[in-house]
Amino acid sequence: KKYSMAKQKKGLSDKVRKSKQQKKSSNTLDKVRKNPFEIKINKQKHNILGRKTKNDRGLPGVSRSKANKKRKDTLLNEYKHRNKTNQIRDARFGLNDEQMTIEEKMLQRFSMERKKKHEKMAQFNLNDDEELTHLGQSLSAIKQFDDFDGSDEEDGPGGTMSGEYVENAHFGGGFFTKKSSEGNDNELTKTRKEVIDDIIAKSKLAKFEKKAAREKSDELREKLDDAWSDFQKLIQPSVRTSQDKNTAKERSKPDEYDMAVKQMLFDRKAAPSEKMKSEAELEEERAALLWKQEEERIARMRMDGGNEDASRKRTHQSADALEEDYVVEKVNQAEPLSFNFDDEDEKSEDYVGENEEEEEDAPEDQVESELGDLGIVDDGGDSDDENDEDQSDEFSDIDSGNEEDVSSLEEQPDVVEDVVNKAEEEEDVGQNLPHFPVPASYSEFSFLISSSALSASEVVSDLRKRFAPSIGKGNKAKMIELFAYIWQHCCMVAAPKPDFNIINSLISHAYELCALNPENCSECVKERLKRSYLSCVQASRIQLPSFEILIQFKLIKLLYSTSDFCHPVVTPALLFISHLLDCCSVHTLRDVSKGLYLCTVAYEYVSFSKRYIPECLNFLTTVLCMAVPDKQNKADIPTITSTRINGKNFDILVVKKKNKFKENQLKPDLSVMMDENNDINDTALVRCQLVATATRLTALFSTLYSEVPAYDEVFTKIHSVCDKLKTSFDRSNLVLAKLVDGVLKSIESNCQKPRTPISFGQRKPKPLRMFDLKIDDTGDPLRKKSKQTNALKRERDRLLHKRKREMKGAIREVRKDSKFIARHQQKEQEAMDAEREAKVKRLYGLLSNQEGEVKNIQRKKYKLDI
Amino acid sequence: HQKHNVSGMKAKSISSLVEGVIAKRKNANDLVLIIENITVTSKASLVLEAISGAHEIFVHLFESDNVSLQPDSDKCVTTTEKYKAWTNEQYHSYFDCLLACFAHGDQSVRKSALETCAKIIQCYGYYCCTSAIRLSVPEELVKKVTKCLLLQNECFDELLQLLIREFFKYGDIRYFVMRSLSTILSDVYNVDDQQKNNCLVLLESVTSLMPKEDSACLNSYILAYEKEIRDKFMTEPPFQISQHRKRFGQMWLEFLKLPLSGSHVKRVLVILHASLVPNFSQPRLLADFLINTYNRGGGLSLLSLHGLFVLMHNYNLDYPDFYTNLYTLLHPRIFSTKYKARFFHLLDLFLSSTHIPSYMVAAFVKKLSRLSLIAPPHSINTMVNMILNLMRRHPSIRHMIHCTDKEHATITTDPYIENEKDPALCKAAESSLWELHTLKHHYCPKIAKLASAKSLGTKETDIHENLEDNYKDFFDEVVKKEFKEIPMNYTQPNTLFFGQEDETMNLWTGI
Repeated sequence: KKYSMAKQKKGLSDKVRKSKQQKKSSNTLDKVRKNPFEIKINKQKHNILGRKTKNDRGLPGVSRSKANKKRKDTLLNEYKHRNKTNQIRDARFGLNDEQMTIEEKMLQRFSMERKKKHEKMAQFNLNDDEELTHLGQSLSAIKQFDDFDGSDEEDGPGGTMSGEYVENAHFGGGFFTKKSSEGNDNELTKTRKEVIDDIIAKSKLAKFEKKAAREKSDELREKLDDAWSDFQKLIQPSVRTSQDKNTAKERSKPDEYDMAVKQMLFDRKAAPSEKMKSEAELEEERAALLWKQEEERIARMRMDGGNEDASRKRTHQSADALEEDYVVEKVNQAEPLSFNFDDEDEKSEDYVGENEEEEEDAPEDQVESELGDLGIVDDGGDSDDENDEDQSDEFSDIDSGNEEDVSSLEEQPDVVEDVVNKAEEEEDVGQNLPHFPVPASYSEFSFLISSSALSASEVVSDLRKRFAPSIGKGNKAKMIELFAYIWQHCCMVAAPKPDFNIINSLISHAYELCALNPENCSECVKERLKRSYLSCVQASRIQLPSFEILIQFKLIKLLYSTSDFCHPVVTPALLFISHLLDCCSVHTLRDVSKGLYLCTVAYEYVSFSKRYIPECLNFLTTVLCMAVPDKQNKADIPTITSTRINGKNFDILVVKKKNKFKENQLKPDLSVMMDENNDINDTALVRCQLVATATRLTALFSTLYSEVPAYDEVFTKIHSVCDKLKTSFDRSNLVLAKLVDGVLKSIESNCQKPRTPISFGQRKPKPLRMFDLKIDDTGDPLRKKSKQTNALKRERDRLLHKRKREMKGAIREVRKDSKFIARHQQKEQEAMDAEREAKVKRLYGLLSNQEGEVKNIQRKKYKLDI
Repeated sequence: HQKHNVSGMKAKSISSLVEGVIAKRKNANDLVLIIENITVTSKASLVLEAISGAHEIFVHLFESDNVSLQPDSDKCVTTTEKYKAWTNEQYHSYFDCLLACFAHGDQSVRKSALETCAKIIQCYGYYCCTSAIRLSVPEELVKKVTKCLLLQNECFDELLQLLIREFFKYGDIRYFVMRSLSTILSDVYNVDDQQKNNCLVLLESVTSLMPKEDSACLNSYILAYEKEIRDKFMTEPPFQISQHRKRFGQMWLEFLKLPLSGSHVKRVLVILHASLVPNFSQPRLLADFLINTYNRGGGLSLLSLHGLFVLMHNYNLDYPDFYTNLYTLLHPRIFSTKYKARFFHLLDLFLSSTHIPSYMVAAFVKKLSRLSLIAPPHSINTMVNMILNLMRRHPSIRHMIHCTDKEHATITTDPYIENEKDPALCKAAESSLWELHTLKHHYCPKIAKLASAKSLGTKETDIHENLEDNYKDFFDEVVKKEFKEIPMNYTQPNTLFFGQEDETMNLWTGI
């Protein structure tokens, strides 16, 4: 007890001392903090309100001592242990095994240890295979707790003995109960053995009851489990089976009333019928349409028509831009002549489709009316309430030769059938046309036309009527084929002797068929043009081809809008023409006439757009030059034509004898000129005719190009040639001379126009780009922002800066470390020196003592001796 | 007795004669008999046998040192010396016979004759070299062969090819052929076309084989088998590239002095700047030839201008008339010539310098724009692009295309004088490019777009991509282009003629 007191005392004093120390240390820290000589204040350049400063003051002494202490703990330790290289190797079991858990490792280690121990002990163990048992059962078997069930019953009240029993039996009971029990005789008489037996019996009974109850509850539970699956169905959310669906469907089918309502919703409303237009109104409409088409044509003619607007998108709009340059984007109006017949698709329509159709109705009507204006009426079964008489009227139109295509928006097949039946009936009754199918090839087509009693035009119109795209599914393709045949036929009849009547009768068919499907038909035209081009160009020496090919250009002119800036068919055709005119050899009068014909067509192509075709002018110059007599002198021939005029052809057009052809005689006969079967008679008349045509064409081109800036340069050579030509014609033919004079006059009148030097034009100064305010709502506005926009670079700069600072700090630390070490080493050295000095001093002392003693002795000796 | 036997001689007897001659010196006269068999008219087998036999004998004679290398019959005193001189004489007559055999009807004979000639030269040269300090080669023999091959009226094309194929890989052979060629060509006056053709074939092959460095001429034919001897003569002219170049230049200049036909000149001009000029020791000597060729006109003048340009550009040739001459080449006929692409390519090359005086560039620009008024579209494309490039290159003449001076009075005529041959006097710089504005209305959309450029920009267009274009390319381009819609006339035609915008009815009848 004394000891413990002492211990206690000691602990107490320690505590006190510690707290004192703490107090002292905190006191010192406080003192230090308060000591103005210890504090270093970091000056601030700008005082910012509200900013919490962390590093405004520092305690250099404190931090130095801290750092020193830390060094002592770490660096000094290291320094002291610098040459000590021993190591503890940890070779415990499973140290580096990642797979094992800590428990497993512990277990393993434990078992290993045990085993080792056991092995050591086992050499003295005699009964090795003895097994411990309890109640005849092996302990190991018991421990497995196999028959564990119903653990929750274990703690229940049944498991314990009754309270009464406990009161009586345990600890012998209290006094009062004992008293009462003493009063009971039976109890008294019972011996201890009986009591014990009683206890055993009771507890057995209790156990049995418990068991029975458990069995019963198990049974009940199983029963409940069985019943659960049935019960489950009732409580889970309802899942629909297919049968359910069907029944539901049947039940929820719209009744007739609903249907009626919905149908009425989508039904076509009774549109107000259009007012009957008066003649004047119709006329006005027609004029407006024409005007619109003409405008579109002019738009296409311009280079930047349409395309540029779409391509130039506004990329940036300033906040200050007050919509000054706001341009309303042009809405692409439906082309008046674009026919989009999607008859096949429209048959399978549902309610929604019909709704859409209603919206489409208006433009269609417009198209129809336009068609009507053009004489292409087609109303075949468009409206429901149209009666048969109307239709028959329409078809009587057809029969009367007014071409039309019965192709439009069929909605109800039965009406179409009616149409067909009606048409067929009429055919049978009226003209009794033979029922020929659409020919599968051109040869069949031409055979059909040649064998039929009808004219080509009638055959075609019949075919078109019976295979109108609206009637059958594949008819659209058939019509395209038909177009191709017509096109080919038109070309074929042009050679060897052109038959213009057939072409005249077929041309409107071709136009209408092409209008039905411009893409595919133009593909046909292009294909044919391409083939003819290849056939003409492949020869090394280009000859002007037969009229079969040349007629194509005229047909193209009739079908397509040739004034366009760039046209899929017209532009290649023009290139073809100019290639022929540029490279062909001119040796015969036929060559000349073909060339002149090409020039005529080319003129027609560009007569509206006034495009410049140098090849035409070159060719005309050549032709006119050929007509100039007596050109032995090379200087007489303009340089452009010098490569084409040679000894063979230099005088094929020269007319020397005097003649008096009338002006109306001076037009060449196209069919004679193009007739390949018969050679052209080389008479003075023909020569004069060709020269006259060339002259007229030159005059036409001269007026056409009168606005061209370099008119003088273009026409000077022609002027000089015409000059010579005039002098020669003054002698031979006065009519021709007059024509040439007309050209000269025209050139002279257009010549010498005032001109200004060209420029790209004054361009509007480009306005400075106005920027909206750039509002950056994140971050501290006072923080210096990096100018770098690139996040990556910014991050890099930041890291570089950080690294630099860290580097500086690290160097400083390293320096301090080395100083510390040096200091320590010096201390050690000093300590060693001091020790040595002390030792030396001691030795000196010893020695001086010794010496003193020796001297003493010597002196004594001396004294003695003396 | 032996002479009338000559014609009846058999191949077998020749071989026995050869054996005899080799065996004993007293049979030496049979050599004459053998050589006599080598004629143009003899049978092929016999000639072949005789050639090989005679060669065998001579090789034997050379080996046993029985042929004098410097024949000088006056000094011959001893019988051995006389014999040696005689063999030398026979050797030369043998060579002459071989040359005659070049015209033999049988191909194998011709081939064998040439090959044996080469062997003789090799053998002779080799033995000359073994005994001499300097390289001495039987140059007269080489000259003889070359002359024979070139200046005969018969066509020795096959032999020429053989010569080129088999022997021109040797530096010394080439060297001596070049030397002999220059002397032959300087001596001869009347050379017909066939001979010129032969010469040209030879010259071209020599040109293609010209070495680039010294080591490439070390290949020797005459000294092929004796390395030591060859090494002894390595510093001699046949093995030095500078000497090769000298001979090469001499040879070509001699050839170019001949009156050449157009096709020949063209062949020369085509390889001139790539192969000839770099191998000449003094390329400027070619200038005379080129100037003469320029005056012949046409495509030749263009090619010669190219040659002159190379000389001016790389070899400091001073030729002040160059651009004036080039200017006169701008003529409408270029559009129809085959060399159109090359012309424009070279024109672009010549005008690529930014140091050409601006009046000159203005003249070219104006001339090109004038030509574009009558040109086919593909040429217009090239020319307009070229004009725009020149404008970009030379800001000093930009007023021609973009006149900012408001006070510029309106004029009625173009001050440019088209027929003036001198670009300095044509007043092009005072003019403006109205032609470009005219081309805005060109029927070809590509040209119209090009001509209506809104500004010059700074980036030059590469004209070389489209130099070879023609009508067909333009046609294909338009045909392949995809269009959104195909506009048609809005009025329906009812007849072929008499419709709207129809002029046919006014100009033609019979419709």
